[in-house]
Amino acid sequence: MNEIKLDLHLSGKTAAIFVDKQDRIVDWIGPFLKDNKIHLPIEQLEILTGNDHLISVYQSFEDADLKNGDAIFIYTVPQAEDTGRNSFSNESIDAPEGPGITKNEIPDSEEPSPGSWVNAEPTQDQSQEQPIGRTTIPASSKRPGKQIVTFIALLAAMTGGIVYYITTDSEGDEKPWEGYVMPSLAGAHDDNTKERPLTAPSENTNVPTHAATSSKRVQAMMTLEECLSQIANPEISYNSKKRFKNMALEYFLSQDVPVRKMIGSQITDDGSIISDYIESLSITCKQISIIKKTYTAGKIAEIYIAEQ
Amino acid sequence: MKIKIASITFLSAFFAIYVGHCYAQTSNSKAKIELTQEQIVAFKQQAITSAADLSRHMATMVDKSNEIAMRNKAVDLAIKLFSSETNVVEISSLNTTVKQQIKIRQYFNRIKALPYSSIQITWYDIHLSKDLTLGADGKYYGVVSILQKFDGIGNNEIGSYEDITAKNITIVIEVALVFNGPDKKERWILKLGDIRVQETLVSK
Repeated sequence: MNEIKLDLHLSGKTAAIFVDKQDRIVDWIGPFLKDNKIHLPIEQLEILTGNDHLISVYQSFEDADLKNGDAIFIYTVPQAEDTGRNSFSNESIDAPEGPGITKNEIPDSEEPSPGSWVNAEPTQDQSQEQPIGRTTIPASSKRPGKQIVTFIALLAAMTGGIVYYITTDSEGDEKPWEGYVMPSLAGAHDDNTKERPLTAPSENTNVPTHAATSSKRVQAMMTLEECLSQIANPEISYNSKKRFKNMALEYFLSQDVPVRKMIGSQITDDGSIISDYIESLSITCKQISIIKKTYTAGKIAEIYIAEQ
Repeated sequence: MKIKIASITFLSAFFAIYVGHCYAQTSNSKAKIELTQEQIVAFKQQAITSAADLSRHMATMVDKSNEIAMRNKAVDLAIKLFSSETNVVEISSLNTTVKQQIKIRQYFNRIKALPYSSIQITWYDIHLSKDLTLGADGKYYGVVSILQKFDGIGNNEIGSYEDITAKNITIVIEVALVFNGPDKKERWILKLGDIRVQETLVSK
């Protein structure tokens, strides 16, 4: 039984959904408390202490039956402004509010539960004292969602699952992660062919080493190439490809970005635009490789591909 | 007053002639653009790829086990491979000598809705049967030939149907205004044209 106990400091912004290869939600974690599209029940969350919104989640990941390649979708909203204030301080700016819970329902305990983590500036020593099998995410983050993201990264490292981060704006529309971990997407503007495994943020030195050094690769966000590979995967259903299509389109300046075909050193054109090409790829399931991309305003304005 | 009207008429006529001249120049300049030999070689390959794409879209749209959204999308994507929605597909049957011509969207919708419980359309032996040549209108034309195997498995009422048809697909390479980064620019693009039946063969 691969059961671990996690003490998470959640500020109420983030939720993760575990999805199997058939696109079925097999499990979820975290409250979905803001203006997101999906509102998840939170009855299963065990709230141990309130002032700093510490929520302890006992999760058996065997129940979730995650397998290598399953997807973990993390939904969160970017923090409006980094005020330098700790998101997990007593100021309760992000106190959980939403279906099934209000601020008043949070127990007003001043004492953390045994083993929980309330120190806003944890030290290296503290992390080293963590008992085996118990992962505590430090509360050093000034950004929202960092702990849950780190937690999911650890989880993914242990399960071999793939992590996708999705942020939403205040309207609930999905958008790329902004100014946060998102290593692959952040690198997309200069070279998104590089694989950048998710690592804990540099200031966060307390990530337990057994997970951080896991040999299993953890991805923060699919690269364009990975998205296209999933879109062209004949084993994935057409409906399930929708999220990959949306993710891939985020890399482009618009849906009308032209697709140039490279045959040898020659460019041929059939007038395809990227939105149609991605759709076509999901049906024809062709293997392609990206030869070249040109950028405008940090987004792809033209793409050259070779079909195999 | 008469002088004023005459002046306006003269100026209008001059303007019309001037615009016509410019347009003719543009048209002529388009016609003068020719593909290089390397481009022709690449477009030949692209022609076969596009025909193969059409084949895949057709296989998707007729496969009743596919989701309907996917089948509908396959119709739209197939149509986008063509030069125009007015392009036609010639259809034939072993049961009649008459060849019918119907517009591509109508054709795709028709094969999608055929009452067989299961349909399979397979294209094979896709090859360029007529080289790309420059037409008088400045476009390049070629022909891709295919063999189409149709398998319709029906019930007791409609029975099953199976044939193999040799078809020719016109390939058109034309100059079109397409996106080039954020702007639009004239480029050569390859599109499919009309599809004609060459011969319908008895299967097996």
